[in-house]
Amino acid sequence: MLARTAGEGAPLLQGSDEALLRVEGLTVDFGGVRVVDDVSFELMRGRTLGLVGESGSGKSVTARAILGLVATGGRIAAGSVHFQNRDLVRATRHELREIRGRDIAMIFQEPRRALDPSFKIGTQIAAVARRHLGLGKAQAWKHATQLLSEMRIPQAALRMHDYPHQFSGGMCQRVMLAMALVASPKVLIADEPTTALDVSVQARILELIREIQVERDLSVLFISHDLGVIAEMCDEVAVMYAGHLVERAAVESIFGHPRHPYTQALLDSLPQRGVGRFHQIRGTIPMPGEWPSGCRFAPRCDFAEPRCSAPERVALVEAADRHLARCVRTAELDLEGVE
Amino acid sequence: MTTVLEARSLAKTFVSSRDLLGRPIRKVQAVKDVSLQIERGEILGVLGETGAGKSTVGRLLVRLEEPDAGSVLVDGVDVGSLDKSARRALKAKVRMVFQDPFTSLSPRMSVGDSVAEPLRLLAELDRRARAVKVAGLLESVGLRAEDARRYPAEFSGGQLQRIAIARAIATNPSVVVCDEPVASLDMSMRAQVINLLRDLQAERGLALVFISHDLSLVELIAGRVLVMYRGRVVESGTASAILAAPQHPYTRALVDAVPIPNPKRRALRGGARLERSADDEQHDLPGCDFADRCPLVMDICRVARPDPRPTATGDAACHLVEGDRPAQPVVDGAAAQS
Repeated sequence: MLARTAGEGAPLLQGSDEALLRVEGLTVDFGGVRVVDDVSFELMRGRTLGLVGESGSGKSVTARAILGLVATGGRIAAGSVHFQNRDLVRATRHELREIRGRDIAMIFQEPRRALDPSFKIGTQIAAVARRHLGLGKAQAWKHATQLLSEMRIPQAALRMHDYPHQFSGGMCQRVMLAMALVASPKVLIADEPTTALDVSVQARILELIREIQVERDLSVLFISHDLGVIAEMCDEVAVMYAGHLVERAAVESIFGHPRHPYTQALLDSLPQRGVGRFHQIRGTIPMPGEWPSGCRFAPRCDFAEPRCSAPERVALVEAADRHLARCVRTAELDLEGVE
Repeated sequence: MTTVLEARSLAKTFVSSRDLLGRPIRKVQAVKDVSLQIERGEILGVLGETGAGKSTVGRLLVRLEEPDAGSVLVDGVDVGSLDKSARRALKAKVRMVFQDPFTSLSPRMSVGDSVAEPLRLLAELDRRARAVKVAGLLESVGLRAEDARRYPAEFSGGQLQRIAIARAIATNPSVVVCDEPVASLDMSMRAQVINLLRDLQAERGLALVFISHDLSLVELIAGRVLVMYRGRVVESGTASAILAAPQHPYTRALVDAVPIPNPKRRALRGGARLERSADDEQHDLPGCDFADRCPLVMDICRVARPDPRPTATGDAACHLVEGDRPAQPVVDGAAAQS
């Protein structure tokens, strides 16, 4: 078993050579309370990394911190975000504003709330094109129309004149995608992009994101609490619990052979045909500021031993080939995944 | 089997906008024609997407909305035919649990007061008897009697939803209508609530109407299921059988759209997608409501509305369904779901 401390963010996937975005030891505090604690991962070119976790695990804060979007009262206490020979944590506000949307774009859970109800769809997309590409009014409109139609919105030229309330939830997410892609970014951060949508709409949005990814060679950081969506979309998965990563590996490895009891418990809590009952994880997720010492999952873990509650934080170690887990018992446990 | 709750041809139209004089200019037919029956101790799933009318059906069942047409029968008694005091007695028998416990429980009332409220309004109990009852109810949902004095802000979402359930069962109802009871909860919280609902059903013979958009959840918890589309039931029958082998093309499309939490069986790659959304159009078409999106649409579908007809697993309202033959041939890709 190889202990990894400095190199936690090293690439896990074979064959994908280029790390486009490297997050190392990212730590975010809110009012002196740690919310994200020493998170490291790499986003490979043209690949999708899934960030899974429940509410309060710190996944959305991590995603926003990458772009320097930390809400009032919060600050990045440590760590770095390497992107194109730059550390975004140390970038100026001006530099970050240039990178946001141009190189790294983000879409959110509730697309309708991200759109201004009083402006036409077209005006809003075109404004982004004018801002990032320096296009004139007519050109920006044309570019926006083109993007809207690439997002598979029928009669895009006509729909440009519609207002957000005339669009369904799924259509609004397509508009958000069009806005995100205006300046041909290399990285797309998608924070629960389909959580508010119906399954049939979700399926089409997920399909669209995959197609766009291939067409544009995009790297995607896909944040979701839905293991089904994660399994459909991702090449690699990082599981967050109580502010830090507890497991990171290729998607087949995470689902097939989880190496952390929390991941297994999540898989067990999925409704499964013929099982009848949900497996229940006892207790509740510890909130920031209330994380137990040692393993933060130990109080809820079926496999916990006294040593799991040692004062020191458990290290993220290579539990199997290119499979990191933060569990002191990982080598002796034979956890079950999905078949 | 005793039928504890029955709905006959419910219909409900909402006015979505009015002109200057208050005359309706746009209406939404949320529920067009829905009939259902719930037996004692049964869990009936109601599936459908946004705008299908499933929440409105739930609200009509507990009389939070008055139907424009049709009737609701509690223990065989038509609620609409009763006077106010008689209705109150029936209200105690059909209760509701809402999606978001953070907004369905008053933040200014102690948990004990919230749970006691239906007892105060609908049951003849003095203060002391209510307190004893509330303590017992909180314990039956896995909380402590002392929690009665605490306020909602001190609880997690899963705990709050259990408190909301305690309030719903306070008056010993025979049916609880649960409208997306776990949709706003995290995965590990969902299990607590679902398991609690199942225990209550088993121990008290409680019947549940379980309204959800989550197919795998409905398949897990419900015995029977109704699939709703644009205000009507398009398919109904045994939940596990219908979701394993959908007969109606709409049910088929829904099942095919569910992501599978197993990267080896990625279901969404390839396969037919439903074009457009259910909420794109809301006109009441003369034919089948699903005709404009159906991959198997025929000429007759646009002119004649299909009546529900028996299938191998229940009923489906589709011209293509015949006897035990589903509307859509089961293709190879369907194995991904089973």
